[in-house]
Amino acid sequence: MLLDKSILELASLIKNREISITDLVKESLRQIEMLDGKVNAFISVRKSEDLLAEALLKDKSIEAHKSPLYGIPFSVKDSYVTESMITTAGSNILKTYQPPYTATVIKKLIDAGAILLGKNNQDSWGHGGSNENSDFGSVKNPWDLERIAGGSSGGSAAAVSSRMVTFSIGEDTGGSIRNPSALCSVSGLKVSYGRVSRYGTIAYASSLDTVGPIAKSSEDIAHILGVIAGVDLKDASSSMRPVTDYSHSLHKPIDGVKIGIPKQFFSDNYSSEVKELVLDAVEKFKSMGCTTVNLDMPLLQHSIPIYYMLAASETSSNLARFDGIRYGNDRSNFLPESKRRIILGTYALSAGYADKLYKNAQRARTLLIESYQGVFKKCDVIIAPTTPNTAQKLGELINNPMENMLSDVFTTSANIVGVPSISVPIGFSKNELPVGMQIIGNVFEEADILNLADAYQSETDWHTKTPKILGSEND
Amino acid sequence: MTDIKYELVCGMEVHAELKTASKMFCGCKNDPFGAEKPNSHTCPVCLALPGALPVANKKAIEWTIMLGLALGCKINLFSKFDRKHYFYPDLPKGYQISQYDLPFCYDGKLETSSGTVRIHRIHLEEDTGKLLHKKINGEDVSLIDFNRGGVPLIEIVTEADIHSPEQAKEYGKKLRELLRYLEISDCDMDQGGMRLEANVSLRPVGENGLPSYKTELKNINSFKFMEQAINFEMDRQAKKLDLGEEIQQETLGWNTTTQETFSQRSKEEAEDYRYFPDPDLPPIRFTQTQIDEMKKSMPELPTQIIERWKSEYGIEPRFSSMLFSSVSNAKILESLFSKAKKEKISADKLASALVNKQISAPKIQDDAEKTLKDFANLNSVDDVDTDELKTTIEKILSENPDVREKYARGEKQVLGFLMGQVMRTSGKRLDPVLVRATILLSLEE
Amino acid sequence: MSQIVKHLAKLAALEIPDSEMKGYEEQLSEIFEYMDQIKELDLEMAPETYRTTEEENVLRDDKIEPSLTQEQALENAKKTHEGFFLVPAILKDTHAS
Repeated sequence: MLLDKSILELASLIKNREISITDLVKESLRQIEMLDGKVNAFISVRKSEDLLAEALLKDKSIEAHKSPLYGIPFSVKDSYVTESMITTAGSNILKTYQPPYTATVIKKLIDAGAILLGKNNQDSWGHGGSNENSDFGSVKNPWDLERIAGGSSGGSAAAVSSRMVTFSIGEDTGGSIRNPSALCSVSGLKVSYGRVSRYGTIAYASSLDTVGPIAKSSEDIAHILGVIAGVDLKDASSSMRPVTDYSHSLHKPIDGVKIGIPKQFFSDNYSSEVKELVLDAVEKFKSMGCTTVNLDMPLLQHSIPIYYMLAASETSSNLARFDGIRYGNDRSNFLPESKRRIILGTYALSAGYADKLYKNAQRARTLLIESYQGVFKKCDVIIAPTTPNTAQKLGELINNPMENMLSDVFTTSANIVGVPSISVPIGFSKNELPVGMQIIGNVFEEADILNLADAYQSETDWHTKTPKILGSEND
Repeated sequence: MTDIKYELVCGMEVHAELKTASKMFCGCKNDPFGAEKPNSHTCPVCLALPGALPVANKKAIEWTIMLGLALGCKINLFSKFDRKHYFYPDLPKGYQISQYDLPFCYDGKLETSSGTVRIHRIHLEEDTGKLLHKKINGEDVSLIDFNRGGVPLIEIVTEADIHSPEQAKEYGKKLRELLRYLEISDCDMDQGGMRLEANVSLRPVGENGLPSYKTELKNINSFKFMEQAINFEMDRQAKKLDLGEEIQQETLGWNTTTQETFSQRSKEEAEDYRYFPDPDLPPIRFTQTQIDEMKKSMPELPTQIIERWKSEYGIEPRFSSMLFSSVSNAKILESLFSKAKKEKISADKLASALVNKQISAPKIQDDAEKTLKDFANLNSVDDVDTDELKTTIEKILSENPDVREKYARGEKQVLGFLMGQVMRTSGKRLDPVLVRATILLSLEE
Repeated sequence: MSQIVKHLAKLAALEIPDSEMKGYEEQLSEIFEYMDQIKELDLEMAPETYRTTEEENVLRDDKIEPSLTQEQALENAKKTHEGFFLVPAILKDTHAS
């Protein structure tokens, strides 16, 4: 199966004309046709005539293009605006909205020659950890269609997991790339805040939102990151730091790398299966020459309220523009989860409460940043589980808002502080559900965590496993 | 009826649109009044489309600092933009990007003839769209044009130092003069380029401290109306205070027809704007050195120019103050007066002639010669025998042999010397232009 | 609690039908209580951090860039009239600038 191959493999096959871009796009369309009725990873897919015409055109000028992404099929979370293509952010408010411009991240990928297949399903506005909070139906986990795919970029992770596209661009504000990546057994990168332009990203929480890739491996992610990272004059919050050559930073030796283990993330209050698999992965790293450092980070226990006070406040602000006047449907179309978050955010910012809620969260943020800075003096990376449990059954989390919020416990601190974190598959639970772990690095050290993840993936094959629904396609 | 005399305690808030080329947070053209059609100078940013992001206009910030320095303000070396939240159809994001606790400028002052008015703060924000109210097919509707949305707006807030309606008017006019002088705002009140608001309260004469209440006069677009509205409010409030009645905190407008203030909104429940720093916009930081540099490179202010023109050119302040209204035209006049001085023409008399419109001021620097010529023609001069003039000149040249040499070398200042000599020697009132022309002829020979 | 929720919903321009109010109150009560733990943290009066980037003074030159056409600006609106966006009448000038 072509879509089971890595970006480099595909690039080589295309260059040597062993396969055509048309073959690739045809397979992508076939996969979507066969599986998306069950998985529901896509809200919209481009017309096949247009896609095949584009593929044909690209097949004619392969020599002229250098990027390994040339001709590669990808999709994006429906939070990224695409000119003249409906963009919904997973909500009925934007059910018929056609933007007059395209997000920078998509422009960059298209300039490199990648082919956009369609827009992925998501929890509306990024509000959720299970992709059940969508006006376009829940996304089903390709590994067990009665379970959640995770969220909020559930559609993106499911599309990669079920081999509909080579990669997808998700969006991570509190774990929204890493969470579904772990639950769907794919790799997903949350970049350092500001590493990738947010221009054209429908905002959830402005100081927390990051744009990042979901793919089958850290190596694939490195290639994608090289194309999408960099400053954007239209995004004043984008970083001016030069972009590292990520793909050339892989395959570096990792012995001597110090791995921090925060005790707050390894207690007994979540799935012991998940914990054991993460500890196994740590042992794997030790066998490859790494050492571990025990860490005590008490503030981590409060990441959830800190995160929600900030995220809800910022989302209540960012969603104020949806008044139905210049575009979209009116505010009565917000789903209950979004209404709750808007009200929570309004509460946190309101007169009389702002000082103890919103401002306290910003103070705690300062302390959490200092805590991380202190920790990175003692170790190179931190390892943590991605989610506290494997994928729940559909309906469990969406009816339990508190439980839903708590599934972000391991992922939110990276967003609060602005550091990068990659989630990679590390195995399966007894009932064959995927488990993921995070490798968290210091700011702008994406190259280091990609390298470590790649080293792990060279010694293990969890990331190569495919869900049963692919059936006989799996060759 | 009591005999208590009350004194006005009034502070003003003035908003002025800056005339930058582009808007505050995007590159759309800043020309709301001149746009061909509605919603034609808009983009994802100022229309608040999903996914758009603001980027701040450098020039708008520089001009804000310049105004602050001109009003003697302190400049916050660290400053930021904050989001101010409320829902209204002309506010597309549902929040306005403004400044809350760290405005660019604070603690300045503006002098009026009845005292100093302290400037509390000056900050920068974005303007809203424009609402038009109409009846379409029998229904009352509001139409929105976002061409004005996102235009940079500077807000100047005073302390409650204004104690008469006349002083309020003078303050407003002087502020407008300064904004126009610095060429950062046209302040066209008919077009909404400058908007006035006044907070009005009364306290018994002799007492100090701020009264416990105030009413806000808003949406008043002329100095005359402002004066009338304040007068009316003072009467209204005095009557209530005399009767021991409480005065409601509210927002009032001025009805020009009925000549009365009217309530627009009760201020009992203060708006909860839920300010927080805008995460999309990095903060602005200046060093003291940079501010000092800005101060040095600031244009001379009107009061300084008037003083200097008196000492350098002998021009009476009452003339100077009427002659220029902007940095640009002050510059043009400067070169005119400097030229006049070189040619021993009385700048003061020249200024007087300009003020009395006997001659017209040059519109560009190159027109200075013409203005001087017109001025010369105004003054009657004695008839002069050109031959006699020529003889006088030749005589002076022969008495000063090095002059020709110096002139040939390019030392043009000898002309001034020669002119002085000729004027003195001849004892008549001579047309300087003629004298100069004749001297030049002689020198060229 | 219902007063608070009603007030917040009004501030946020959200309508919560009376039939759903109880459900929101219950869920929000639980959430507010959980979030309130942030009031108790010993934060040593640390300064607030509202952004994690290092850049300052990221500004644009005062240059005009192309705008959308009027058609593009209006194309997603439900109600327009002769180039304007249209809404039901707002009481004149009831809001502060």
